[in-house]
Amino acid sequence: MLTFVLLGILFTAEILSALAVVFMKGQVHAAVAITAFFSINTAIFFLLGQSLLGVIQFLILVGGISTYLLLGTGASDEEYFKHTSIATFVLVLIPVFAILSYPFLSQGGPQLATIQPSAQPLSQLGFQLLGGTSMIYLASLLLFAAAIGAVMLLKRRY
Amino acid sequence: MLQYLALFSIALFAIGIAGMVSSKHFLVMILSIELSLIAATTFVISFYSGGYSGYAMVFLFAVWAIAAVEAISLIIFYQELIRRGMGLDVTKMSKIRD
Repeated sequence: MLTFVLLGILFTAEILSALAVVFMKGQVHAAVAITAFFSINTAIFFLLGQSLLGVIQFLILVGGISTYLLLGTGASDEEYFKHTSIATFVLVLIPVFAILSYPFLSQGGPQLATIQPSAQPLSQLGFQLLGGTSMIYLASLLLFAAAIGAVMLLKRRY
Repeated sequence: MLQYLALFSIALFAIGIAGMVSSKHFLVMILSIELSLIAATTFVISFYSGGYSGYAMVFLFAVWAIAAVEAISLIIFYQELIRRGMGLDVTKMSKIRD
């Protein structure tokens, strides 16, 4: 029961922080809001029993990405202007949510099947990762290319 | 329980998509894509709640790597736009070719 209550609180807080990312006027405020979003998402992972993934996500998203975003946005002057149209936001939000959630809400639609927890040990994780090595190589190649591009852009003089 | 989690993830994803479409702030648009990416990870992990999640690991690592690349690119372009004095309004970004 306590888990449900905590999940409800975290769901509400995460939705609010997501809305804050979109509607905050200053970019540093948006970066702070997305840091809160990442942290709350990690807490949800913990509540769902995925503490290992939660720790990894916390290190990558909060320790890495959020710090980078906060430093990057904080190093420049803030620029304030009205950037998001609430009417357009609502007009897009409702159809996207309705279309995507229709299978879960309709009675005759496809039902979700829970994946049964299995008793596989943690050592199986290595084999799972080995199967998707090409994807990880591709992701790291992208990261490497982006890092080189970043250095090249910073070194250019105008 | 699973349906609530799925609906919650879909709501986050929809907020990300709507934020990306309705905003003309460069940084907010990219951060909205980040919201959608993390909503996708929440959707995936909701199927494995309490169980073994090794199968989801590869997907999650790919998403986190993409999110990291996106953040790096975002800050680089952001600094570049500020340095050129162009502002963060994407409707004025056609000047970037000059």
